[in-house]
Amino acid sequence: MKQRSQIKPSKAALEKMLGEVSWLLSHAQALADYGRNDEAEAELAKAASFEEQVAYWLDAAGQEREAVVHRVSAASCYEQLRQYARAVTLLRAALSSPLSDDYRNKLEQQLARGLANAKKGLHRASPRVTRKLAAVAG
Amino acid sequence: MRTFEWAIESIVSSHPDLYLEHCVVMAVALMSQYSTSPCEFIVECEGFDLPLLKGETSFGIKVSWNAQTAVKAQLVWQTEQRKAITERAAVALAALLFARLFTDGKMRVTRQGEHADYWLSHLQCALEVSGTENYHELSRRHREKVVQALSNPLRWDGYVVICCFAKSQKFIRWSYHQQGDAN
Repeated sequence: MKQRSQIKPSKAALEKMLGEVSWLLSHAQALADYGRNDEAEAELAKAASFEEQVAYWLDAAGQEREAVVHRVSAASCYEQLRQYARAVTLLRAALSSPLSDDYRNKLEQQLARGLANAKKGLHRASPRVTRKLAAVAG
Repeated sequence: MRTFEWAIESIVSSHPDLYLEHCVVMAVALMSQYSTSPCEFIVECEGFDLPLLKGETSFGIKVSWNAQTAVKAQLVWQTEQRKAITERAAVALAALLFARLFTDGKMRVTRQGEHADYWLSHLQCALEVSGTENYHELSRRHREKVVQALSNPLRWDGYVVICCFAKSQKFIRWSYHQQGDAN
């Protein structure tokens, strides 16, 4: 079976996915504006998953810089959803790509925040989850 | 000076990759504080030419809205903060300008940290948008947004749209900046 990152989508499929994820993100923002937080989080969760897929596809299409933007977008959604371990993993992947110094600094700050929140979560988590988070947080 | 008249509701179908209904409502909530429909703005362009303007750098827009949107807009003030309304209203006007005056002005959004980043993917440009109700804030806000637009992670060139909803003057500063401008 092919790895997800090895599957090369058509340009049309990629465009469609980029459009859908953008719509979901803006819809989540609108719902949050109206204080409909549960619905906003549901849209953010969908958007995060789509953003991860888009990032894989962009990598496969050789568009590494664009992939980073979408990986960070996914991480930002997970951060908002308080899924810090997933956010940290994605930010680490983004930081492994070539980046400008100022963007790298921003991502490192975001990573530090994510790690701090992940560690705070350790105190509240069960032992099994604690081991998993500790592995991610390094 | 050339003047265009457009319905703000038209941005919903013009930008299929964005959910803009709430921006439309917030734009009408703000504009209707100062004007009945249509609300007039002066738009000043910098750093790029619009073929429709034939060399002119400024034009007028009359932004109209329908009765149904007006009803929804009346409710917005009960639930939203003024700053959020001003920012979303600015996004609506930026979306209107790009939809009407560019053939490839499709906007998309990503999240970077806690804020939204807008992109004009077909033009390969970043887009920074902001709104204010204070005319004296316009220059400072514009300078900040130029820096933000050009620091985009893709190192694309950038457009900046700053909308001023001041009582005395409704004004939009719309500019284009190349990466070299940052130096």
